[in-house]
Amino acid sequence: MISLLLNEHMKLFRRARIWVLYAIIFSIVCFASTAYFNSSRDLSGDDWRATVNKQIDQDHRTIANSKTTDQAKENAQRRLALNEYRLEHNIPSQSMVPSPWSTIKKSSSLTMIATLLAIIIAADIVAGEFVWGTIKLLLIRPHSRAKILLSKYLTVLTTALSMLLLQLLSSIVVNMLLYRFQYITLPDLAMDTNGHIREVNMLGATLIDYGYQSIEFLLVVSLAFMLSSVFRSSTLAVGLAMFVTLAGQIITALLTRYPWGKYWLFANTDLTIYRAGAAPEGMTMGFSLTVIVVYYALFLAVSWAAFVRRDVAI
Amino acid sequence: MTATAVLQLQEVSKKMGKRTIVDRLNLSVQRGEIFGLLGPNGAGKTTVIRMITGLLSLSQGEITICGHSVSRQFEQAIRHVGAIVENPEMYKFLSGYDNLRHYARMMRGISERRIEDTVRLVGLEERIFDKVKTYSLGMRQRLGVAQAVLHRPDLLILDEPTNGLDPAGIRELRDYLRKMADDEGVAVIVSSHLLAEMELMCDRVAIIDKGKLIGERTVKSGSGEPVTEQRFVRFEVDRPAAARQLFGQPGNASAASAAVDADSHEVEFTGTKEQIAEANARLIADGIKVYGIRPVNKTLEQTFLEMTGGGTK
Repeated sequence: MISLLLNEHMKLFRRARIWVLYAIIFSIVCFASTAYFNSSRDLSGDDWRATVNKQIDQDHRTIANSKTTDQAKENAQRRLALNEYRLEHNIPSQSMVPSPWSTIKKSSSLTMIATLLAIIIAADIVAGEFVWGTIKLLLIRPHSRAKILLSKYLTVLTTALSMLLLQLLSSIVVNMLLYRFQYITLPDLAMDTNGHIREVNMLGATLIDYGYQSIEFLLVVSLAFMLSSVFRSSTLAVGLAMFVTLAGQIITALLTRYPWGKYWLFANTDLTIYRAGAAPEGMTMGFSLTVIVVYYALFLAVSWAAFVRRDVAI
Repeated sequence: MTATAVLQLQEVSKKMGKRTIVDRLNLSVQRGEIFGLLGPNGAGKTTVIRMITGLLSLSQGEITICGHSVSRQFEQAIRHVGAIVENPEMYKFLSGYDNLRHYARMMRGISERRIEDTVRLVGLEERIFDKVKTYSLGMRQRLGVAQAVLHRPDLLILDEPTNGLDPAGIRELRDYLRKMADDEGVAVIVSSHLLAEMELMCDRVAIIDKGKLIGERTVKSGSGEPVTEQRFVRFEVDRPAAARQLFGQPGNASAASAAVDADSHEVEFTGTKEQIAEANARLIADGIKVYGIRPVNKTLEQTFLEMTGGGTK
């Protein structure tokens, strides 16, 4: 198995393509980080207390005003509590000082691009062998087809994760350099439903965001892998996987009208809706996790059946 | 058949949809034997090879390699096989050496030393570290042979191995296969649609047409002479009728047959080298002008029928 993995990695990393994809991810991270950095250049971080005090005054007035809605009042009260905690413990808000962390945390939203790039790898790894004709010489070795497929899937997974890791690490490094390592230990504040305020480590928060993003990432990668195994054509697999990914959210929106719309994969891949309490009716975390697992098992089973059972006649 | 059969096909059929591509084929190949699979394009040679190597499933029948069933004990069976299926398609973006390393990793006990020996064997040592995309077809063919023999297989299958090889390369390959068969007892299967090539290379040839085995024969005669002593030529002459008469004369020393193409000035003639020369001399002695003597390739079936002596007079 180790030798099969070595082979797959050799075939992947001896080609220029993977390095181009890595370069694209790195460039996009650099570009996005610099853009954010430039837009927040005016922040010196020295006058954050003044800003906080201004907000406190404003919130006091909002609360005192009889015309304010209950919702607005509640929001004002929350911000008031947080701001008082900031002054007391000397913890400025991430957005008020030149801290690298807000950009780093936002970088998780670039995962969409890494997804599209990882599709190229996943959709090609099986189909490529068919397109080149090398599949024949690959399969006439003393290894079962299932093992060869598994080695390919594991290679896709590690490579896809390496792309995500590159996105995260390059974002951390680039932003640390841009912000000259200022405020790198500054935590964020979070308030739970009982009104308790908690200090949140920014690296931890970033990792959690990446974790949420990686669910859809891994599912899309597995989908592309399945299409690769089924169609044995790189172009068709890349095209279809990209289409489904890009149209996924649009299709989700269209399907919300139907009761069965909630069984659509992309209606369930964003688990942050449960964290934010924005879950649509009839959907729970457990439901979404079940849907995800079922789709995932289906992708793997179809990949396996298409690769192991079918004749190779090219 | 016997305990020395490396490969055995029993009643093997392949159906795709309603078409029967291979029809109840029975074959067996022994240790140390070079076996030719001969047939026109589309006869099912490649399908047979794909079934032997497990790329295609069988619709019916059984294939065993060294006693292991290809369909039920694939890994044990395929361990003994080295093959090129159709064109030797390699990873073009890798060097020849990395291609070999790739396949070497998939088999147990192949040392760097063995890879180097194999490279020397196929004469690629100068270019082995270049990318395969820079190779000529002949070099790819050699690399294909190298990956097939890397693990010292008991059964070597080469699909159209002379494609892209120059005459010197073909002779080299022939000598090499002979050596493998004689010294290491490897059973070799070679497929081709070229009869002449098969006769020089193989010990035994099976002719396949439309998925059916239409005949099998041992090629080499005792003297080591190629069997195609019978040649088929056309004489282009000024008086074909006279030539025909000459060839058709009763009591003609040669037993060769002759026929006339009524429309052209060509007369067909079948005989050995010597007989052709004699026929030519007779034509000239009779004052018939000979403008040319042209060898003609016959269809496989014709040739085969003649080879087996089953042809109609």
